[in-house]
Amino acid sequence: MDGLSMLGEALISGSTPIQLFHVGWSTLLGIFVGMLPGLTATMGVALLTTLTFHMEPQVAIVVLLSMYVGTIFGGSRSAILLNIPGTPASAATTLDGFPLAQAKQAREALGMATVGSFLGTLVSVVMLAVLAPVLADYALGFGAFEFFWLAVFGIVISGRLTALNDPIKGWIAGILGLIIAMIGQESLHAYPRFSFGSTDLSGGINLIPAMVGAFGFAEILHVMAGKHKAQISDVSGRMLPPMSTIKKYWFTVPRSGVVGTIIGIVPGVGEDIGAWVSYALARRASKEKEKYGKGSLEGLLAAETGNSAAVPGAVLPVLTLAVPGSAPAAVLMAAMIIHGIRPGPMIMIESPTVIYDVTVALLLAAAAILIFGLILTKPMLRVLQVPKERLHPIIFVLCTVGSFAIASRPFDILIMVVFGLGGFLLRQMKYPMAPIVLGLVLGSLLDQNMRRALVLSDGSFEPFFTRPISAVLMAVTVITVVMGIPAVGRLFARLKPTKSA
Amino acid sequence: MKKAFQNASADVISGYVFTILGFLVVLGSWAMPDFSELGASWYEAPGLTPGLLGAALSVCGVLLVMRAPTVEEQGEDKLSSDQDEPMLELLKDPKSRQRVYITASLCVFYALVMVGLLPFWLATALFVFAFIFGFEYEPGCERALLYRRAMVALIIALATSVAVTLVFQELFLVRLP
Repeated sequence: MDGLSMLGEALISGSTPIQLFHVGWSTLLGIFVGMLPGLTATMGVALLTTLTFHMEPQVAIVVLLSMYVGTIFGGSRSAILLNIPGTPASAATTLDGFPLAQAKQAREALGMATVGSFLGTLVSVVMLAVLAPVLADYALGFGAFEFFWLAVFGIVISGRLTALNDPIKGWIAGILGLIIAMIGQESLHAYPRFSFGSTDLSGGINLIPAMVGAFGFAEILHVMAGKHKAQISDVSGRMLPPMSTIKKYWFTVPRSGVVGTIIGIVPGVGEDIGAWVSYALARRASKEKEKYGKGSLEGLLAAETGNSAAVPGAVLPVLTLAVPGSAPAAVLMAAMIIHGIRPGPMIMIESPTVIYDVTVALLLAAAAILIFGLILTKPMLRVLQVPKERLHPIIFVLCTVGSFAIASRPFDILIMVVFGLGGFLLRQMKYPMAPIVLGLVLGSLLDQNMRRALVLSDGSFEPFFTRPISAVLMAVTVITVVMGIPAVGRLFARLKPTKSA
Repeated sequence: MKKAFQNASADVISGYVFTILGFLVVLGSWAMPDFSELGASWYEAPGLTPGLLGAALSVCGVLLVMRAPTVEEQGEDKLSSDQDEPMLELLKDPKSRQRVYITASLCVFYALVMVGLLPFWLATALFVFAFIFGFEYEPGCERALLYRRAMVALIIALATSVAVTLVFQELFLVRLP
């Protein structure tokens, strides 16, 4: 088997001491970034990208992936100990993690979350290694029509799932992202759209400064505005959950792992939704529903397995379709392009080893979170005690440097500031950020493929609806939109027989 | 009830804003050249995609305006943490609002004015010091405590400035602003 031998080679080359060193430091840094409220995975990966410029592409990917895995795991520490999710991905973790900490089971909760995150990543990595070559092969058959629908579907589903109560806001956010992506020179005639004579604007909006603004600066404003001073829970007792507990809840791991991976694969829908959906499913299937929200180890396991499984899940469409599964994955994709790797259907032909390098990097990062999570409880507590007034100015300095460093353009600092202020305001008004980011990434894909498709069909819209994959993508998109309209939702609710459970 | 009303009116306003923005995007796209004099077909026009997107934004804006009064119909299933925090909470509360304004002004002033005007290390040290001391300063507290806080802020400011310059410029060879 070619795939197996490549995986073996990647495992050997990925396990050299220097690679392990890179996995170690970047995962640990990721855990600290994830733990600190206001420092998100997206910002962590974006800022670290600037430091990888002079690294070998393979090393850079390992470092960035480890950071991603580390941050999503790190968020659980503050969720359990402070009742504040370190990153939005750990919001579901607070529901049972914090009550457990209050009941003097903080250490056990930390241990359970660590085991959950480790196993969730493992399940998802296996799915990544199996599915990626298949999906890449399948995507080779995609033409301009399919990529157009894929972009539309990505925005629609991301808007729908990141704003469950208000899909219109999710869609507005997505369209806004697409419109922002239109700024700058287009591909057919090199006409600078919406640039109003400015050379900076005709160069377009760079993704990384925009992300650093929306996920870094906006988050700093959010955290600095909050009044609460967090109380750290007492950490004592046993760390590893007993075998009987793991045995009792064992089915949660594969279920949450698979669900988290699938949610991760969906474009622009990341770890936070992965955790919520996996938590909701676990509660529905649980024999101890009454414990949920009051300190259920099963609920905690479901949330942490779900969010960690979404990480490899979100990387899968990056590699095979060049469509990011989450906001941090979008930055990862930008970083891959900076390092000369072209993600997309051609990946198995142009650089077939990348998928296996990614698989190995994720496996090693999973092992690193298990080790660090179990042995480094005390130093982590110390990091959580850093006052936000002292931490956040430093973070803002890094946001400024990171935005500038990508292209040495002072204009990018302005982009960061504008996205930060705008992002804060939109978040306050309950507009989700992920669809905006996805829109920014998918804008050029949508534009190029729509016009290319029309050129191919000589202006006819027919192939958009009649090609089989196009038709399926269109049908799913239309159904998602129709079901998202509140009036239709109400109609369906009325038609459904009233259920008791 | 009052909160629901306020949220709904905030949605109405943002709905109008997006409707108008979408309309402006359509106008801007319409004004773009279509290169027909070079033999390009209508579907190659640069304004096609942004025009369609502008129209879609306007439609969503109108839908938001129309739907706004019926907001607050939330299901029991808690699926998002954002529901915990009411809309615009941080801007309605006077204390939070003040902290947002101070943070935003300090950051904007540093990023857009000080960086570029002053050498990077100096701008950074001044910003970090002003930020920390500004937030930790309490009027009427003991002089000795104040001195201590100022010293801590100064040490963190200088350390940040030196560390960022060294790590980015010397170690990772990244250009600084």
